[in-house]
Amino acid sequence: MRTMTFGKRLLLFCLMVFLVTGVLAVLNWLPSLVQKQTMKRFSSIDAAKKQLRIKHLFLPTLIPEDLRISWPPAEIYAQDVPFSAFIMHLKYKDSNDIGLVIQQTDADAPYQIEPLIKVKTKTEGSQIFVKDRKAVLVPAVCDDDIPCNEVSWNEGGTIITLICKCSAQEVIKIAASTLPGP
Amino acid sequence: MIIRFLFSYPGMYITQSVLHSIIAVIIVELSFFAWDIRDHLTKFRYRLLTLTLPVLMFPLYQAFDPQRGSWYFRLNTALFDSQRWLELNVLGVIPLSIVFVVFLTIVTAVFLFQEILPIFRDRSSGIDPDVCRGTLETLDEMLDSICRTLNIEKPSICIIDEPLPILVTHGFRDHRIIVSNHLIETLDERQLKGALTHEAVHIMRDSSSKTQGIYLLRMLMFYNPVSMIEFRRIVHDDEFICDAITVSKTKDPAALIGAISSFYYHPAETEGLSQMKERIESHSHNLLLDERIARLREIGHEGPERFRWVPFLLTASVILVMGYLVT
Repeated sequence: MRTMTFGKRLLLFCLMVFLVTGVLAVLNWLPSLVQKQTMKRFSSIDAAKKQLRIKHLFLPTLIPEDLRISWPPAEIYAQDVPFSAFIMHLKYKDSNDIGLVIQQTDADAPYQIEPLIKVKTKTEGSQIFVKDRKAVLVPAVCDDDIPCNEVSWNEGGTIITLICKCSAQEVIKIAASTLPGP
Repeated sequence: MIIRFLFSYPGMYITQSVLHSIIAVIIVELSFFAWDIRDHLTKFRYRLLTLTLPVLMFPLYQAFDPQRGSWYFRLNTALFDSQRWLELNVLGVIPLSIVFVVFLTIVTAVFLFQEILPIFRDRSSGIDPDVCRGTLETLDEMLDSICRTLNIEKPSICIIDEPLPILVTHGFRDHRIIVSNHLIETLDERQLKGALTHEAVHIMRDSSSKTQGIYLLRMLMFYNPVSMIEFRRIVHDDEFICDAITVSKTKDPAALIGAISSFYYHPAETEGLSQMKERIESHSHNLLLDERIARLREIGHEGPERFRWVPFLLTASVILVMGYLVT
């Protein structure tokens, strides 16, 4: 050991760090073997539906073309444990930025799942109706000082939240399209 | 309710500081092996990383990257996410979050009974300066010469009537060396010089202030089992450092080994819980003396080794990067 050069010691140190990294990665993976229904990423909505016991999904049927937001969602995350949650991140067609977040979570959840689009400043919310459901519309400023709007309501024990980097009218239209009926 | 607390910022701080301490101690111990670190002054500095960094890491990371605490980061970027484990149930019944909180509560109780209560007990049973029997001329001259060699202000000496070997240094600015007459009678002149030089080196290194500072860090992490262990190891390292400096000055390791040997303690073999506690404590005390003697035999009269900054900075960087990815 005493005669080893600095280069060899550095290599030994790097190997050990690599080993610790590997052990941490394995330890991070182990809980998913025990509890399969915790939050994870899915490749498609159907894949999430298959693996989890999602009772009802509220998917938008209308996204205004001029928003240039692409469908299907770029990222889908869902969980059954410790409470039911389904999250979709929709990106712009011409950039990697997220333009719309749709979240649906159990109304009895012990804690809130923070949306990926961060709301920097919120103004007082106003009560609106989304297809006869009482909802709250919050005009806000999101990441990179872009104006955005948040709409949320309780749909039979599920809190549906949409945050869109678009106008209030546009987000209400998208929100309404997630619900059945005219 | 417990899970909600653990997922809040104070809860994340507590959980992550424990995890970051574990990561830090693993990386530091691996560094000792990879860089062949045996010198205790170097070990002392590396171990300080395990006490200091976990106090600051979580707030530092959150200040630079507020998204780090989000579920999105934990799922997509983190190397290890503690929340995945905390949400598990042991045998499907007991939430692991409760087991974790109970464990931290036990560590906190140990801290209170083992480290806080003795402070109050010692305050009431501390050494009374009135019991000092003055000093001896030979001892005074010896200390005078030691202090000139080490270039420090000469501390006062207090000799106490005690049937046990006692040699401690008190004070932060005005130091006082307290020595029992038993020790003066037991040690020969060379051994006494070695023992007094060791105490003078503590004064030179300002060990009292350093220990207090390190103890404050340890108190901040009262719930952290790693801090509890590492604090003791750092205090032990300080003894090894002072031994190495002592023999580099006196060039007489045999005398210091002789002096250290006189501190072995073997309690009477009787039954009872308090006796068992005493036996465990004396065993760990004697083990430390064994290690100090073995180390002195190994290094001879060489002083501490040169500190190498590159491995130290690499180790600190790995701890910081890995800590960022452990949430």
